[in-house]
Amino acid sequence: MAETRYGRAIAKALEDAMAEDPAVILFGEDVAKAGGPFGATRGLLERFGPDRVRDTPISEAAIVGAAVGAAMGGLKPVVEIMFMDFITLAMDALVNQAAKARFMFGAQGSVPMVLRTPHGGGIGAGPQHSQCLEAWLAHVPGLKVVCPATVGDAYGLLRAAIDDPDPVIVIENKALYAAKGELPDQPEKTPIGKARLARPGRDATVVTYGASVFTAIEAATTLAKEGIELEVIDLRSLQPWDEGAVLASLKKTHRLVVLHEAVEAFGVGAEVVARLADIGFDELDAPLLRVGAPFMPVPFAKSLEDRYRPDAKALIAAVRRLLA
Amino acid sequence: MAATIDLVMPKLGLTMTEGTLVEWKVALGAAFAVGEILFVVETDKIATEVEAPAAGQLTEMLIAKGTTVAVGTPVGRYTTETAAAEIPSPKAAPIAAPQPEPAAPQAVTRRDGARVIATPRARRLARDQGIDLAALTGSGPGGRIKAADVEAYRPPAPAMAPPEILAPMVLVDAFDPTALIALHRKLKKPFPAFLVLAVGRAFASGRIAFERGGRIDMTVAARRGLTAIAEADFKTEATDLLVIDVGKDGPAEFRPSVDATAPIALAFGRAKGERAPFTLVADPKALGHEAAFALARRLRDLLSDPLRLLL
Repeated sequence: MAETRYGRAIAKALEDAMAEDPAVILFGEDVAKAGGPFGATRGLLERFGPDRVRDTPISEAAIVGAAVGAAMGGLKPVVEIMFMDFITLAMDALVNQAAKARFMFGAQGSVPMVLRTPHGGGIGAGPQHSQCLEAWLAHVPGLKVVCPATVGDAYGLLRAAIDDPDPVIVIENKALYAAKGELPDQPEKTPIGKARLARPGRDATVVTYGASVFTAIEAATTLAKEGIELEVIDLRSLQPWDEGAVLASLKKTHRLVVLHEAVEAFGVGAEVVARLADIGFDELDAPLLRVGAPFMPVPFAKSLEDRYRPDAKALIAAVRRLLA
Repeated sequence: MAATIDLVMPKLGLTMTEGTLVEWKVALGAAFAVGEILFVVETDKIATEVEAPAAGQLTEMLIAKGTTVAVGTPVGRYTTETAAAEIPSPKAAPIAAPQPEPAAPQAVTRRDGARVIATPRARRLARDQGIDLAALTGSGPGGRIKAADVEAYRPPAPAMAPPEILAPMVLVDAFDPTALIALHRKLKKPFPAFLVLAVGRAFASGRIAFERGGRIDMTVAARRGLTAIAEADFKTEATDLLVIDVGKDGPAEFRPSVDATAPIALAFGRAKGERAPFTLVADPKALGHEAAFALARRLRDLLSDPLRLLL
C-alpha cells in the first residue's frame, strides 16, 4: 500500500496492461516524449519503445480513427484526447464507427479500444478546455463511459476498460491528476457498471461521480455536524450505470439528489433522476433534484468560474430542500 | 279479497337459528311487485335479500333494522290480492359475502376540494396502513404530506359511546297510604309534599329532582325535607335521583328509564286502597342491591307511618 497520485495511478495501469498484453498500444498528442500533458504517460515510451507509445499530430479525428482501425485489426489501442472539449473532432469515428461496428457486423468482431480524456474546470482553462460532455457519449448505444474519482478507480477502471472488448471512454478530471490516495501494490481492477458507496448515510442520497464525489463528501462532512447524514454514491460508471445501487440507497433514505459538474440540463443527472422517478417512485419522500452547472459556457475568469462550478454550498442548499 | 300475511325471518341455512334484519328495502305502506326485494337479512357474513313472495303492500314493520330475531319470527306484514295457495314460501337470494374492497385510489381531494399534496412514499405508507391522507396535515413545503407525517399520524380514537345499561335493576314495592292520606287531609298540605319529605329523608345524599306532569317540578338536596320545597328551583341538570309522581290519574305502576344523567329513578304509581306502589329503577353501578333494599324499606316505613317523618 502506497500513497499515489491519481495521474501516477493511470500511468501504472497503462504500464501493467502493456506489460501484460503486447497488443496494448498507446498514442495521442504529447503522450510519448512529453509523458502526457498531465504526466499520466510518463516513463512509458522509455519502457515500451516508440512502436507502442507514439506521439501524434494535433488531429483528434486521425487519432481516434486510427484507434478504431487498430482495434478492428486486433490491437488494443489506448488513445488520449488532451481535453474532452476536442472530442467533437473525433465524434464520427467514435459514434459512427467504434460504437456501431459490433452491431453492424453481426457481432463478428468488436472494437477493443480505450479513449482517455479529461473533463472539468477549475484551472482557468476557459470555455473550450473545461467542458464536461460525458452525457453525449453516454447517450450513444455501443459506447461505455466510466469516470473514476479515486486513485484506486483511476487504476482499476482503466484496467477494466483496456480488458473490455468494446470501446470504453475513460473520463478523467484535470483537477484530480495531482490528488493523492492509497493504491495497493497489487491494485484491483474495478468492474465496469458497479457503483461505490463513498459514504454511508441515512437522510439523503447524493449520486455523483468524478471530482464531484469530493464536493459531496465535503458537504456531507458539514451536514454531519448538524446530524444530517448524507449517503454518497460514486457511480464510477456512467454507461452502463448501477441503478440497482442507487435504488437500494433511495430505499434507505427516500431522498435523492444528483450532483455533477456538467451542465444540469439534459445531463447524466437527468437520466438518473428520470429512471429513479420510475423504478423508485413509491420510495420518494421528496422531489428528485439535480445540482449541476448553469446552462452556459464555462467562464474563463476565476471569479466567474468559481461561481459556475457547483460546490458543497450548492449541494447543501439542495439537501435542505430535500429535507424540508 | 285482500289477505294480510306475515313476513317472517327466513331460515337460510341448516344451521341458521337467528338473523339480523339489516335493511328494509320497501317503505312502510309502499306497494311492491312479486320478486321485489323487501328486506335484507344478515347472518355471520352473508347478507341475503329477501324477495316478495307475491305482489302486495307493506302494512307493518314489526322490527326495526338492525334487530336480530329468531328464525320464523314475524318481521312485518303485507296485504295481497294473491290467493294464499299461490304464494310460494319466501325466496331468498344470497348476496355474496362482502369482498374486501379493492385498494381504493387514495383520496385526491380534501373535504374543501383542494388536492392532497403528498410524496409518493407518504401515499404508499398511507395506502398500506389504510390512512386517509385527507385527514393529515403535511409538514413539508406548501403543506406537502411527507412519510414522517404519515408515520406520526394517530387516528382519532372512536368517540366513546356512553356505556349502556344493559339491564337496570328494578325494585317494586308499596306502602300503605292510609295514615298519610289522613295526615294530608288534616294538615291540608299537598300530598306530593309528603313524598318530597320522605324521599329527602330516605335518600342518603345528592341532588333529587321531582317530575310531575312530564316536567321537572323541583329539585332539592337530600335530607332537607320540607324546607326544600320552599327553596325549590327548577333546574334540569344532572341529578342523582329522579322522582316521578304519576298523579291520581296515572298508571298503576310505572317503570321509568334511567340513563347516565339520571342513573336512579323512583316512580310513585297510582294508589289503590291500602296499596300505593312505587318502583325504583337504577343503574346497578349507581345503586347496589343492599342500598336499594334499604332505600325501599325506609320509604315504606316513612310513608306508611308518616309520624316517623318527625324523627
